Amino acid sequence: MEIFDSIIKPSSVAPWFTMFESFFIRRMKQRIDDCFSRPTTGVPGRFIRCIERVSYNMNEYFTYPGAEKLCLNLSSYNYLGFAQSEGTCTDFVINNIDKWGVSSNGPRNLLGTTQLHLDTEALVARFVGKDDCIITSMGYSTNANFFNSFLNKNCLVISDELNHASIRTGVRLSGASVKPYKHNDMKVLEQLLREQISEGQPKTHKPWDKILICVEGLFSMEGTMCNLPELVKLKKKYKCYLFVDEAHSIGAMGPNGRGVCEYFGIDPNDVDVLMGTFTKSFGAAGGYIAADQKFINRLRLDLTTQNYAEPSPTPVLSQVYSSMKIIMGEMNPGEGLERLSRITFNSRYLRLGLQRLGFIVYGIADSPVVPLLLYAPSKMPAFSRLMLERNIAVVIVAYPATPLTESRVRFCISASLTKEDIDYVLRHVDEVGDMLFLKTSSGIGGGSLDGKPPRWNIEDVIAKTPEDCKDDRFFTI
Amino acid sequence: MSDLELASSEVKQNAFQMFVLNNSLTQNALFKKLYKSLEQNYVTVVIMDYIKKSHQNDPYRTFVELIVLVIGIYYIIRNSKKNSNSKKTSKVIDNLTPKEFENFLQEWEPKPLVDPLDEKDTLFKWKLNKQPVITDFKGDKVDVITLDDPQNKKTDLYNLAHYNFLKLSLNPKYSKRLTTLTNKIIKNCGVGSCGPAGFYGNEDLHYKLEYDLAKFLGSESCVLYGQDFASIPSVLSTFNKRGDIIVADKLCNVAIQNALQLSRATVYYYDHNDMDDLERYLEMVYNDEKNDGVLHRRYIVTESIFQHNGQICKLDDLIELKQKYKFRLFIDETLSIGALGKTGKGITEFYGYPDRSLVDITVGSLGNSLGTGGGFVLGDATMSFFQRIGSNAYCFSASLPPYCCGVVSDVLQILEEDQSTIEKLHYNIRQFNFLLSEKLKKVKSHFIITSNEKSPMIVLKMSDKFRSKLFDSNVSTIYESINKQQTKQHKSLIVHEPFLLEEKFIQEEVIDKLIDLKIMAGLQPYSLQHESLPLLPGFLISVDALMELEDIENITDKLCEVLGAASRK
Repeated sequence: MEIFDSIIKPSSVAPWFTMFESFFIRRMKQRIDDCFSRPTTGVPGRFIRCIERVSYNMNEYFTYPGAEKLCLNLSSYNYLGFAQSEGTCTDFVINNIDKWGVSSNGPRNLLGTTQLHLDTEALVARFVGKDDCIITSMGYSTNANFFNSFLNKNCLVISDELNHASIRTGVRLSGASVKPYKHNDMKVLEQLLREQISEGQPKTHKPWDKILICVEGLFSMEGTMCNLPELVKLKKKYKCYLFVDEAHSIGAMGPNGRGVCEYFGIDPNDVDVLMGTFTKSFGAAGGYIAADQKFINRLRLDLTTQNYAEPSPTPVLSQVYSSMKIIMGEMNPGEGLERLSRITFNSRYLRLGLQRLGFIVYGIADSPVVPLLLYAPSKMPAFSRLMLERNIAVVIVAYPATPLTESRVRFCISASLTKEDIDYVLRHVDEVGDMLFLKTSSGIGGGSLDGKPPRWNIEDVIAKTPEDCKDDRFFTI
Repeated sequence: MSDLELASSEVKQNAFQMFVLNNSLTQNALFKKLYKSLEQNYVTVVIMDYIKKSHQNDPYRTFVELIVLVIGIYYIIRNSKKNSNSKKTSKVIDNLTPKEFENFLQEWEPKPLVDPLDEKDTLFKWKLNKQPVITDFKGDKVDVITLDDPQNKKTDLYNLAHYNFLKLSLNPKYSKRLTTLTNKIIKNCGVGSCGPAGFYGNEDLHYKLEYDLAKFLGSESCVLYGQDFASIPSVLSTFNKRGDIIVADKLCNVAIQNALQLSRATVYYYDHNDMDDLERYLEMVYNDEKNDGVLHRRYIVTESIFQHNGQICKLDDLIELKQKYKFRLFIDETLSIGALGKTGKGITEFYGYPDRSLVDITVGSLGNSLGTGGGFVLGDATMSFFQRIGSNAYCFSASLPPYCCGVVSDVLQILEEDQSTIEKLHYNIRQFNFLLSEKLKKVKSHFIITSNEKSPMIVLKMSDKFRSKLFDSNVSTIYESINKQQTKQHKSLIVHEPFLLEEKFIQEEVIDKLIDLKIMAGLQPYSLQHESLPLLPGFLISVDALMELEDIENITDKLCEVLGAASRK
């Protein structure tokens, strides 16, 4: 293949990637490339318009015949359905563009801050229940450039093994030591904390300056939540600091959409730093860091993104502002609560439905991320292509985001889906599941009360699950 | 020996032979029995089969395999011994009773998350409260308040503190066109893209912009990022690992410094824009590698317009050196795309190259001259292909809002159709620089222009003489004390007094006075503890395409007036 010439033919400069490094890319990723990066157009709302493409020569290049395919959207992080091009939010955004323009001025600390930034920051801080917050223009960069402003090599970061790559990048940039612990295992965490406090730094055995526990509120690949009550207890007992990345949970979890703290009924002030993004529930872009006033004051001058990166543009800020007001019920009262109850129902219904059909599904009951385990990597392209034939857009997740043997398909639930949409998804996943032998659940993980492997008929599932899914009894995890 | 003895020995020998014979028979039988019992076990059959096949009447081979096995077992045993040893040594928990251990844990007191405020922080507080906030845009003028005094609104300031040199969206000729386009796209696609590029996050607008950018800037392909600042560390660390070599400019910006830290490569710094020094390093690396016989990835890393002082890199020499010593060239063009070159195509056009084939990686920004937000990376197709899989900021983050892409595509079209804006910008830069330097000479100012005369961002810094007169410090003492604090890893906050005092002086004597004269200049934004390389405080003035000649004269007049007054302190 032409594209790999540069690593195969000898030249005077070293190749970008060695043969060994690119093995996975050449031999595996390339073969299923037609399932990734599907170009779309229009709003990624209830439906998504996929642009059709034809693959040539084992996905070496594509041609685009020009047709579009309207697919049911289970792929976008559009939890509350704010990815829309009409309604209160869009009107608000378009009004604001007239006032504030579209261009950004320069970094925040170089006259890049507008009154809109300050207003939105105040609103976000009020929403998450913290003193103050800082908004940055990219979610990944929020994490990646955050830790180096208050951690140094005398500090320890204890991080969940499944934390997002941005947290890992940020911690690496800060130079702090990192100790991962087994996903959501609080006993291992406590053991690790006791060991690290008593042992101190390696070699010198000086005590650590600070210990920061990093977790995600809702893990995007697993659909599991952090055990926040236990974490807060441990944090208080051992005097560590706690950082919670609410990228997926803010807006989507909790009775009023205020994230994991509200879901578990914990005072937000017990968590030292709350970080989140606006890409998911709010249909915008960027991220925030919320903490107490003293910390944020320091960060305003310290953060590299404040001093060197471009600020959030006006339309993005306006979208955040209006969608957050709607969730809080201060704009268009009632709309926010309706969206929240829709997403709760949708995610519970799909999850229980899939479990009853006999699929293995990870995660907790209320999580809007529903990962369905495929295990064998070769089933990924098959599943994705079959679903696309049935006009459903789903995301398949492969290495490096998950282990090679735990390939999965991820359904992202949205408040803009209706019950009929979920019925449609269930019917088709049922068919595809039979074709690909995916119904392997033993019933222990959930879905059956009598302990027998659940293999319900699809009609029964659709008839009974909508009522049953409101009952916590059926969700055993 | 007697006959009898002989006979008896014969008998003995016979008996011995018989014994051996018998025994071997029994042995054979034993083996057969064993073999049969083994044959029933599947695992042993496989093992026996393997031994049979691998032996193939070649005892040497069996011998080698045996040795490998022994070494393997020895290695495993040795490792497990080591581990158990290290576990046995330092463990506080083993030396204390459980109760003592609990007390021990209780005794640990962490440092606060951020340092408590101390007396030096009056400077820090001052800096925090001096942050300007825009309350209103009035064409190219702005209304500004500061955080400490929100009631005192300074109105109708001429905005010179920005990186948006073209100001297309404020240009009356195009502002309507760009705003309507933004509204149209938002009414069609919404604001956010709601997903990473790999998972249905990239819309047709993204692909179109990637194509447009690559075509406009003369490169093979292009990859979009959500933020310019995040794209540089992500790209450089994708194509580097331990053992690779980077030769970087001493005055690179923080994004590149982060990239160097993340990349784990061996880094050499050459003196700022000093090509002889660069060649010295390149030659050294080249010879070392030649002797080693290993081919590592090697990069020269530099900026086109340096964020710290506005100098422009010497591309001709860089390309010559890169080709001579077989390096790759990485250029950060966040400030220069859209501002340098006859049609705004950046540093390569500025030096008269037809395309970008000689620059291996270019990073640019959509947030500065192109006027929305986001970053992009240009390079050849192979590099882009691998970047889409290996680069963290691309894989693990949501893609740009679609409207940003649509607007920039349109901006590129405007730039291609109509070059008057860029010509105006270049004319303004020439005029501004000429007038400013002439007038500065007249007022005997102690502020000197450090930027290149063709750079749209004009950076002014104090002269050494003035600095030593005012603060009794000079460049080397500032560098030294910053270095000292940095090596001590005061990551929480470097309150560096000489530096901040100088900043305060500039803010109060220059920028505040300029605000009174309706001009908004900006202090160069720094966060000192992230800068690992020496730098000096300064302030910047951005020339834009909307200025008229009267504006330039007016601004330079007022600027020189203020700088002259400040210099007499």
